[in-house]
Amino acid sequence: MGPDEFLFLLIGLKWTVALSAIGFVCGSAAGLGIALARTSGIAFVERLTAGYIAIFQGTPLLMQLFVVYYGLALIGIKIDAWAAVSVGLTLHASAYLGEIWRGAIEAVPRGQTEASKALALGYISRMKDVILPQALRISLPATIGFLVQLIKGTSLASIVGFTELTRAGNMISNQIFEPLTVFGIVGILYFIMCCPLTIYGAHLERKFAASTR
Amino acid sequence: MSDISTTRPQAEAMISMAGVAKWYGAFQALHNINITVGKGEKIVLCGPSGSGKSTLIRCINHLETYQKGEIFVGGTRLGHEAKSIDAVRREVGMVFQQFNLFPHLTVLENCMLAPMRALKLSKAEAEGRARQLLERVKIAEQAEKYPAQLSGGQQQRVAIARALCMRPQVMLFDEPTSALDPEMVKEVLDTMIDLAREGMTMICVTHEMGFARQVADRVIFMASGAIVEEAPPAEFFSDPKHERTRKFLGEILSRH
Ligand SMILES: Nc1ncnc2c1ncn2[C@@H]1O[C@H](COP(=O)(O)OP(=O)(O)O)[C@@H](O)[C@H]1O
Ligand SMILES: [Mg+2]
Repeated sequence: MGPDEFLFLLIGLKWTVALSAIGFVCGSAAGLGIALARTSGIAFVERLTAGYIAIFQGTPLLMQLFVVYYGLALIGIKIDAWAAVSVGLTLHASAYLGEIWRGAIEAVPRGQTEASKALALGYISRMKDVILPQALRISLPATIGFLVQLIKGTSLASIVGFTELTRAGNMISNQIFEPLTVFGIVGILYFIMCCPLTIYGAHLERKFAASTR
Repeated sequence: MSDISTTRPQAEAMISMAGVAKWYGAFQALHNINITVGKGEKIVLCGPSGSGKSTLIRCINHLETYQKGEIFVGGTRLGHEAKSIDAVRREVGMVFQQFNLFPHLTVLENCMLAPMRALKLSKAEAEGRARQLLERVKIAEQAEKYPAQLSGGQQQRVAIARALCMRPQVMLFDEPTSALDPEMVKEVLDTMIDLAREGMTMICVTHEMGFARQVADRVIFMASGAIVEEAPPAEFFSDPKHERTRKFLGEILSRH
């Protein structure tokens, strides 16, 4: 495998990183909304978002990407593969992060909400200044764990024809007939992205366990 | 029951509860509560565990909602809509058994948050006020620390300062010394006594009968969600009228 092929893999890697970042950032924004809706105390809103979460947790990511990619085309909305995949990953991430953060919000002791209410803090300040900073800390290990899943999940975008790292590897492998070498390198590239995150997540988890003891 | 509360004119009442009843589902936690607390008056609320003391004072700042009756705080009718709840909460400070300080904020930030957010004070004003009140509860030198770095007694004094930073007209205390190690109880009670001397209107749920004797204008005894008896402390302790009160006092005083 020559430098040109390796460069091609790096371009694929760039798209994997971009997809992961889009999925995570947009998914976080939407996921925060989901988590707040899920803990809003408004029965109808809570049930609606519970259903949303159940749908995305109960179906494969690949199917979700198919539905967005082909489904949108079917109803006449023609968008690029990368946009479809971004939308799909965002929806997927929003459901998972929403559920992780719902759990974290509910794990913040009730006394925190009561003290904030007694101090006349409104909902926005209560969330922004008191509950979410504590919930974020609680959820950090699980959030990082999901980010790692998401990075690996972007490989499914290759199936709808988007040239990220996995598909780039596939193309090179078909060209030079060295699948072991190529996919070995692809694997190492994924590993370099994910492993430090996993280690960092485990470190945070230990630190958190120690501080709450 | 003494009828001081019902004859006290409405005009000088800081808190009045009239016919308040509350249910948790099918369970009635409060029965026909009538209390009037005058400006500057100190009430000690006592009674066996589960008698509804917390529920009662938590209705006053609407941490619990009630289903019947009326509550007025400083002339504002506490309804169930956000506007009146908000207005009342700005006038009523509360101190909890478990302190409930914000663990991710420093002592100073704990005290500055609500004045900045709820009263829209500038950062400098909020800080000035916070430092002044931390001074008053004798804990100014801990301002930059986090709650977890303080003892229980210190944390509870910070919680008192945090509530006072809102310049409330009324302070509610829900068993403020029950979670403390015995050697820290006094520092918190002393802080509360100082506050009482300065004329604060207070309702204190506590079993510290020494505090009740020293500070209270009236002691109210509750059992099974209803007010059984209320009297000035001297009378309450020496001449309790009801059998349940006598039994309760017997248990409390033998424990101390
Ligand atoms: N959130 C709740 N749901 C159901 N029952 C409750 C709840 N909070 C309190 N209670 C019940 O209401 C009664 C009064 O409780 P509380 O006001 O906490 O008593 P106290 O403070 O005097 O110990 C108790 O029987 C308690 O079990
Ligand atoms: Mg209680």
